[in-house]
Amino acid sequence: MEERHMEKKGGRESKGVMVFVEIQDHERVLEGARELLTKGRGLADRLGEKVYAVVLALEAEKYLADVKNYGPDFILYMSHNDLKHYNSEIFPELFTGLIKEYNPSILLIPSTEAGSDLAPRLSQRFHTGLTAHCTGLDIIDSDEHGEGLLLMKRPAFSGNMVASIICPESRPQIATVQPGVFEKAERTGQHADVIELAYSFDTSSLRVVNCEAPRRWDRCTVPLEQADVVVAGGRGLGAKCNFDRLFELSQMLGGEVGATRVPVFNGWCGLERMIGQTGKTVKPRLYMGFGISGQIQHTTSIVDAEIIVSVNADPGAPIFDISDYVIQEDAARFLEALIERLKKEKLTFACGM
Amino acid sequence: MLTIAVCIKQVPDTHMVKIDPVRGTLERDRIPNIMNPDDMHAVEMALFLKGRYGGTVTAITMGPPQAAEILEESYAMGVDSAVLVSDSRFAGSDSYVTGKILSRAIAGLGSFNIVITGVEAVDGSTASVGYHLSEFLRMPLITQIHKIDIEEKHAVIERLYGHEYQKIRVDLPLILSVNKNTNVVRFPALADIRTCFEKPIRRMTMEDIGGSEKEYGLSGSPTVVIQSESFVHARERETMNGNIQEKIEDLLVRLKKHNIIRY
Repeated sequence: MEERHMEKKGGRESKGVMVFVEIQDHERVLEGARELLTKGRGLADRLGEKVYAVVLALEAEKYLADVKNYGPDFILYMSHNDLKHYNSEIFPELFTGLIKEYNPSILLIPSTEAGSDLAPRLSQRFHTGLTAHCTGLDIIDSDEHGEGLLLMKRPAFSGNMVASIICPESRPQIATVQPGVFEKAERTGQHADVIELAYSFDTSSLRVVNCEAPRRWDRCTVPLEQADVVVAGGRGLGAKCNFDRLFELSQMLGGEVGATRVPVFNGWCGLERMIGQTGKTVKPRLYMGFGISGQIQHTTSIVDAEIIVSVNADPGAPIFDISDYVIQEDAARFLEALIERLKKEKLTFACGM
Repeated sequence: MLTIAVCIKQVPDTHMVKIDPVRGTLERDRIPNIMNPDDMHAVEMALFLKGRYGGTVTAITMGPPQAAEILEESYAMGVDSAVLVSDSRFAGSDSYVTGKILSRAIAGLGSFNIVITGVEAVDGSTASVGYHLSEFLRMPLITQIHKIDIEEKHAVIERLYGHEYQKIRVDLPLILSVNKNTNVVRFPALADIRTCFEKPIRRMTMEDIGGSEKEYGLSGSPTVVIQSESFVHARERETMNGNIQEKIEDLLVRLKKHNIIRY
């Protein structure tokens, strides 16, 4: 373990921003990866350095044009059947090789299930800092710690505080970011060198193996992070039959259904719908919260919504303080009445038009 | 016979967080400390495996001296021994250094078949320490466990990973990372509560785990917190009035004004 550290110290100066371009469900580039490519491009421009996009996938070639749109200088890719799914033994090993070879100063990783596994493993292997679930990234110069450092902001203390964190000495500076936190922007006219790297890994050394083919689990039709309308339910809906009506409303509004911890815990919906510090971050045009009191863990993940409407029977619900429109009513009753009312109109949903 | 280590942490009860209304700062003193919720599920998993396969469970925590409270709690739940890793030189450790300290303590205690952690702690919410342990101890880490069977030299586990259910076989030793989706935590028996305060807690300091002072605490941590500020995000709150139908009409008018819906 120690020699890795020595190797890095004696070597070249670390430079450049490397981005893990995660492929979701082996069929598309993760939206959060596009956002990180955009963010990484901005940081690299500030530093006058290069962006390295890393794509490890089955048939990786088919994602390269998409990745190129977000302006990396280099696209490094490997294509192999072993890379169809994220693997917690293979991917960190491949990244270790890439980091040694390209020696980036900054490494950006989506805080997905895969990224949350990859980032701490690389942090340990390179004896470097990791700042998880960042909500802000910038470049700063510090008198005390040096120039061109990555400034990482993240919620601390369950979202009641925001901590500004740097990693002054060790490299790469690693940050994970939830999909939906940053904006993506295409950058056309940027030349990218596309480099195919040979894949090799001895799979006989794997300590985790599949016993049978995996099975698919229900998922949101539009990823929650990208939905223009999110109707979310909490404890105040009282029962699964009330929570289920959110699906009716979301269909009428062309949106998706989200939840706080309680409905997920009660089994009213799957974990993939949880919005919050440990779930997803959403920024729809319209967020409607039904029976959500507004625990800070949830509200920090909805604050970027354009309009927040909250319905709660409790006049003291903290969510009211971060809402544009406040409705003090029993959430289940209001939900039912709203659905009945919308049925009477021929409604056109304007978002995304 | 399984040898199981379970890592637990004492955290402030974040549901009880109070913000000083004048200064906008956290009133830390007024927040009670609890065992981290995910770690309760880790202890439960350890006791479940011990119940089914036989073995011993060692609870380990790193923290200040008062963190012994959660070790007493774990005794009440049924663990066999408890270890407090505590040293003022560890204060201020980030998640990487925390992983280093815990892994050295675990290695120093002997060899375990299974190490169990909670997925994340409610105070830091980095969910990284388990993975750091996985790297330091060179054991695979498995999360999102729905079903687990231990066979001679490996575990067969069903889990939800991303959008897929998987059935996997994992060599021992391994790390399990669990949360409230994994199991339901037992209530301690009264007899165990009575005796939990009398059971021995083994203490480990830097001298017991080895290494030098500069590797630990603030000085060993690659990350530096340069600023903390409280987080406020208020909006104009406009209340809809009248009966339920009037509230709906009022709301629809506003959503139309914002061009979010239109007829």
